[in-house]
Amino acid sequence: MFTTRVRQLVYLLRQGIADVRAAGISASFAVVSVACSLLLLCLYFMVLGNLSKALDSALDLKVILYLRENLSQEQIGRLQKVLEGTAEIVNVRFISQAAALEEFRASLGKEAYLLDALDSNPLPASFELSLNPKVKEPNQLKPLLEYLAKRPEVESVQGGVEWVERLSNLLVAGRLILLLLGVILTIISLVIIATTIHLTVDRRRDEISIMRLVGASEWYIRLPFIFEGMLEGLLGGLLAIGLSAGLYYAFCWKVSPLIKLIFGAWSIDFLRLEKALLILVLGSAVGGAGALVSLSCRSAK
Amino acid sequence: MQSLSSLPPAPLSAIVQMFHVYKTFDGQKAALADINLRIEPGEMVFLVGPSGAGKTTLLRLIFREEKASSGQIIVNGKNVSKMKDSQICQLRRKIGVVFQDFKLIHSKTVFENVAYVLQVLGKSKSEIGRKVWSALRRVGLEHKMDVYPKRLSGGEQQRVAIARAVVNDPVLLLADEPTGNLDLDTAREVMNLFIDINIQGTTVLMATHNLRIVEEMGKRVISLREGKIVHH
Ligand SMILES: Nc1ncnc2c1ncn2[C@@H]1O[C@H](COP(=O)(O)OP(=O)(O)OP(=O)(O)O)[C@@H](O)[C@H]1O
Ligand SMILES: [Mg+2]
Repeated sequence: MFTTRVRQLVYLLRQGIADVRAAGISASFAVVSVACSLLLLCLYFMVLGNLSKALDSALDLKVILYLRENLSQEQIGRLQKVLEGTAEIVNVRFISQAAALEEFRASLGKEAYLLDALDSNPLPASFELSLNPKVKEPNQLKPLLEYLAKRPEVESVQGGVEWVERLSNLLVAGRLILLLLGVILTIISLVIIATTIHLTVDRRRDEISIMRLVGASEWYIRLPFIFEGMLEGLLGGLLAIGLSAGLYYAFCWKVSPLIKLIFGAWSIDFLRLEKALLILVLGSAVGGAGALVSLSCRSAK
Repeated sequence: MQSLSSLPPAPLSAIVQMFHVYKTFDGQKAALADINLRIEPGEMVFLVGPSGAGKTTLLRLIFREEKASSGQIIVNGKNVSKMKDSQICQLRRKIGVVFQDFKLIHSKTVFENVAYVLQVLGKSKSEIGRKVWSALRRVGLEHKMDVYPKRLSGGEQQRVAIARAVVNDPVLLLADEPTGNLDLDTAREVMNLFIDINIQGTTVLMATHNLRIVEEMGKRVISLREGKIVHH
């Protein structure tokens, strides 16, 4: 009984594969359309994953307060007390003008001799603040940073929350747009798969009536079509992952150095394994659903 | 005490029995009306009558391609009118059917056309090979196994269809004008094949126009006219 079922399944799976090949052009359309919609989903996952990672690292990014020139020792001490007394700030480090110059000199390496031409130190003293990682919401930091920027000792604030805020807005908007596009494209590819299956059912109509005649069950007749849809969906999913890998490497190659420059050590991640698997499962599910839609339209006639 | 021979014969379980069967298609007069018949195991029966008499409809009722409007149909001991979909599949696996237009799959070879029936049942490759070969041998086409139906003559195509119908050893073989598309000589050949199959034990019910062949055979004949059985 069990081996009988397995043999039937193997036979039906083969039939499904043969159907995909016989469907030719229309099957390729179906695969490409699934790939397009799933590519959006891949991008969605990648953008989402990387942006929230960026957001995290942005929030434990250090905020630097550049100080005005000619501050007295007490003024600096008073500011330091204020900073250390603030809950959102976990660590305060003072960098004197001289220390700043030293760091700069070290970062220049071989080109450090350029600094020898300076006769006074152009770099300001600063406070380097580490923010509390528990403060995730940019809104919470905004009043604090505004307050600090207005203090008389402070020349300017770097690493403010504005771009963090913009990033998180972008995240919400990007998510919505990608998701919406993804849903629309998924519906389209479902319809395209249903159409391909429809064509196959038409092509094999005689065969199906003969199958009924010799006592094939309704499921036996339907399964190859469902396999066909699932296979087209799966191929679409693989193509989508391949395409996003291509995009990913192109992006890393061209854009990543730029990102490193702006954001420091932050780099972009590819799709995580479970997300890639999810894409494949979704692809097959869309394909199978397309087949079912097509078949139920048919039996409704 | 009564002697055994004076007892009424015990009713052998019939292969097909119909009791007051009616079939009406939407908005038409009855295609079949009050049909009662009984076909015994091992019989060969011809179904004759003018075009539109209801021969095809009667056959279709037996393998549940159509459902009777009223009346009871018993096939191989099971009530066909009360069957669910899954039982209909089981029923059809026990019945072979042959048509006037052969109904072969043109994208499959002769072998595959016959093997199909057994694949549906999930038989093993070796069993399929064995059974298909012997079915094709029965119809004398074992040497054309790898040929596509389009390259066969009408008579040969019909023999493939017969091989397909008998490959799973059906209890009943239905044939709807199997010789309708064939010339007289080829028709005789095909008819002889059915006789062979019947002699080997399969019950055969065949609808046909070909009264000349029917007379030659000297078998039981059921005559239909306007959906009713006529008795001479
Ligand atoms: N699916 C159907 N829908 C409507 N009417 C049908 C259908 N099938 C058969 N009929 C009608 O039922 C009647 C009997 O048809 P049937 O095909 O059984 O005749 P037949 O004896 O096989 O004729 P022939 O010798 O021409 O094949 C005819 O009047 C036909 O129009
Ligand atoms: Mg007919």
